[in-house]
Amino acid sequence: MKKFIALIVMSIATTAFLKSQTPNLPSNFFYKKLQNGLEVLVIEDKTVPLATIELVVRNGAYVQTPDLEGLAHLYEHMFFKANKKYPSQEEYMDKVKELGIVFNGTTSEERVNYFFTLHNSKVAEGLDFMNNAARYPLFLAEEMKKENVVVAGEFQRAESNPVFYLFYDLATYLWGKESSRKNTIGKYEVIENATPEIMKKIQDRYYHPNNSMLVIAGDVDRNFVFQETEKLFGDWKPSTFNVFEKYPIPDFQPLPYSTSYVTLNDNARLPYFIRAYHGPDTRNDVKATYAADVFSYILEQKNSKFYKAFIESGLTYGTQIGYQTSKYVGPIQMLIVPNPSKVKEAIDLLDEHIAMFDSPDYFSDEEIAAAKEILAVQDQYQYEKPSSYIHTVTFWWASASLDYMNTYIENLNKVTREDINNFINKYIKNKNFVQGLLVSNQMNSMLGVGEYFKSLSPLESYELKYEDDKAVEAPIQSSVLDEIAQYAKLNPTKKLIVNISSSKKKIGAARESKIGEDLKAKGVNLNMLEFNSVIDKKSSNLNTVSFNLK
Amino acid sequence: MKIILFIIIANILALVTTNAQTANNKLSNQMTNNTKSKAQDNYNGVSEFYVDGIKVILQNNPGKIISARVFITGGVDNYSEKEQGIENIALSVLTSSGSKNYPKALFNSITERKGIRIGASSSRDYSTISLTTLETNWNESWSIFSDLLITNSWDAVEFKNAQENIIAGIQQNESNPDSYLSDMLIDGLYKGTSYAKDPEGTIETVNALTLDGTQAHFNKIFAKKKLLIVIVGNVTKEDLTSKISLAFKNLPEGKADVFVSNPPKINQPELTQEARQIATNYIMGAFEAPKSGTKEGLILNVAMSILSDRYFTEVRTKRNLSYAPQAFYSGNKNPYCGIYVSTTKPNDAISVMMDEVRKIKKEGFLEKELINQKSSFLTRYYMGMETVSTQANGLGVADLRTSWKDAVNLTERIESITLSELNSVFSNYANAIHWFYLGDLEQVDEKIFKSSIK
Repeated sequence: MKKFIALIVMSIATTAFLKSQTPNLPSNFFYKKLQNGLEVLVIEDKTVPLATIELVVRNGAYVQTPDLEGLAHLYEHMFFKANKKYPSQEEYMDKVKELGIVFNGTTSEERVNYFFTLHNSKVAEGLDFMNNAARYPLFLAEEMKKENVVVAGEFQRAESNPVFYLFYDLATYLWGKESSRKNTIGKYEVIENATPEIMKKIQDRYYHPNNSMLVIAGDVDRNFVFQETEKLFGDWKPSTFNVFEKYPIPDFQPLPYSTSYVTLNDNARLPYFIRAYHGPDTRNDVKATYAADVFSYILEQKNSKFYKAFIESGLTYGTQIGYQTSKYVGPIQMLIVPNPSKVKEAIDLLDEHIAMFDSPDYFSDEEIAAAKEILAVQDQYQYEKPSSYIHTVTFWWASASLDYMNTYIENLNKVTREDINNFINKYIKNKNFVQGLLVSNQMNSMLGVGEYFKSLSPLESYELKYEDDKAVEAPIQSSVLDEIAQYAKLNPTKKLIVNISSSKKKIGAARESKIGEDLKAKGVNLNMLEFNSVIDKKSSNLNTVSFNLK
Repeated sequence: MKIILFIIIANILALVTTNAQTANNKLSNQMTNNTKSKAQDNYNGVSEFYVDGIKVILQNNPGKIISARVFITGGVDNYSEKEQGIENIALSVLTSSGSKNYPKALFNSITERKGIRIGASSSRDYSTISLTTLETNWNESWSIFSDLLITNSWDAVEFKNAQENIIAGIQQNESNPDSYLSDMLIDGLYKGTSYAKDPEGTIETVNALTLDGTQAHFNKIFAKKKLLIVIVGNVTKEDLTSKISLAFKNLPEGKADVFVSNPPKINQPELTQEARQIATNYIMGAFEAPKSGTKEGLILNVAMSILSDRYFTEVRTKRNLSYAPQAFYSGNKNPYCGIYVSTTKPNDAISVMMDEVRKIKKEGFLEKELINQKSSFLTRYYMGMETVSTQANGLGVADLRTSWKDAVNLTERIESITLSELNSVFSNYANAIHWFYLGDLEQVDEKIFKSSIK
């Protein structure tokens, strides 16, 4: 267990710091907030003579409209380029080398972070270097043009691993129209066309002290660090607006129905299966986020029913079920690498286990207790490496809060069986999902899994238009009917609605009858089929048929 | 947040970075091992002693976590070509089967709940079995760990699953271009030698292994003269001596391995290429390196880090030919110097990279580069020393090569390197590059790849 102490903000000589909203933190954590809103956290750890300086910004894929898809990441690359003090990347890199800095930055859905690790004797210079990179980037057109190619190179490396495509397809289906807000790597065409003006726009929106935190971890003196931070960052002007009020992030719409897809890639040597659900988030259902983590660690225990059935039995080579804590709808993902000869069995067994997840004997009280202990011990291990732990701290800050991080173990310990069952029933059991299977063409034809696991277009895309005089006779393509029937099978508890718009009642009725026959032939239960026919005399000479689930 | 899944997803899609973090799994491991082979000079309290004929290194560290690492020497020399993979699977089964006093279910339950981490790995040079635990659980953890090593249950189900998992892993590695490229390089550089054996095995050799044979292999190699035990943490010599003696006094003596470094010879330019339809091309080059554990090896390690920085500037920053150019010293028993790049413009990238080698040979490194590199080298070194587990690994690996004292004195050894030594060593070894290429063969101009760097 962490030891928590209430942090008392010194009132003497701290007029520049706000005293409000100070989170409770462990004894070696020291927090202050500058007048401009910049949060500063010092984590003292004397293990090795290093200091890691990390700037974290509330930015990432989640702020991206489709025209900005991938640009939070491109910005991250431009951070390490020319700025007012080091006006070319060569000069920037010379300084990196001179200070012996090991640096990197990452972009994820809800966080962009930049970090420098260097000898602790150079912490002041490191802070100055960070200050210049954060506040005065030049976004030189020539450097941007070059960096676009580098980012494309990163993209290509990801694409060279077949599993990339499975996840890329998953995100498209799972997040629908808002998928740009979960796609960090972005799209080639957006990245290629990015300009310095767009980078400036991103800076003006998000790169403000009151939307950022600076964390310094390692063998440092907190008083010295606070003093230097105030000196360097104190005059960074805050924004006059709350960016998330001015540019609100729309809610991700719940999945309207379940979807299956197949990702074919000839470089795949093993099948990969993934199923994902929309999970809770730290804005709307904090309690469920703790239950989600405890439940993941119940399933992972080697004595659990899940582990024995999926791993110890040899049915799969590996499974991972987990929830990713997020501020805006965290995904629950179930990744399975099935034994290639047992793909169908593994997927069927997953459904059987999901059906049992909330049964009283599916997991024991001991397993709940063990999951909490495992999480608590892991937390202790994390402290050992400050240059990595600092990233965990900034992750929590961005996707939850420092208080969430600090009370995490305490709240895990409060999770009950009922909380876990509520989580299962609210987010998993009988809920819509997206599932995908990665196979090569050869595996697909050998195992016949493609047929079993039909690849689908979004249901809304089946809007079919017919000329008035051909509306009855024109058949719906058999492949389209197959896919619609597949939706019905994936969503057995939902009504399949067929919306027919026609200019004449007679045409509508005839069409209704024909579609009913065709879908019945494809195995759709007629009791779950519902027609919604409208007469639209103004609809020129076109009739339409579309589908959705209710 | 479930960390493991988060990492997987992050690597695949969600988390993108400024610098390449995992250019190559195997390459990365080699580099990490290399980094870990350094220890901090101002750490006091490192001692060396023998318990019933077993060499022990103890570094007293007042932290809350204790790391114990048992090294088994011999590496690929411990088994024949037909037995490739036997040591790897033996350790996998060993660490998951449970033991006489801690049957599997109890073993899993205690280790998971108390965060007692027991793991193992096999490389070409040695194998390790490791224990990492909280100080508060030290006595119970050692009891479980030693019982596992002496009275293992050798569970048949664990063996079968390990066998299938390892084979699946081998298949999976084939689809990962970095892993595949690394295998191409190993085959090319070490063909015809014992070092070409793959510790993980091949699909055929792993399929042919049996539980009895695997257990017999472990019993053969787990012998006093083949072991080195390294402990870092808040443990006394007396406590450790008593625990080791109680557990291992009856082990067979075995035969000590002699450490002989024999780096591959690369006398003339070569190109080994294989076609694969992927979004970019993966390329690794190798030139000769000095023997492992020598001063020249350390000097070349620093030189390759400077070359890596130059590639970042010349290949990535100035010409945007790659996201991930790198240069490194492999740091294993039979080392080589590596150059790595993934690029859609292979001829341009390779020309620049070879030109840079030629330029250094002609003009030498700059004094400023050496000064700066010493600084960042030490930053990386200390980053590798943040955990007791990496400290234990660093001491052990150094001792298998020369002495753990080399790890303790590393900062002085780095500081003592001169510019003339740096230039002379680099020039002596960078004579010809053997390139390995995976990707679109149409894009390769062999003349460029096979050009001279002399």
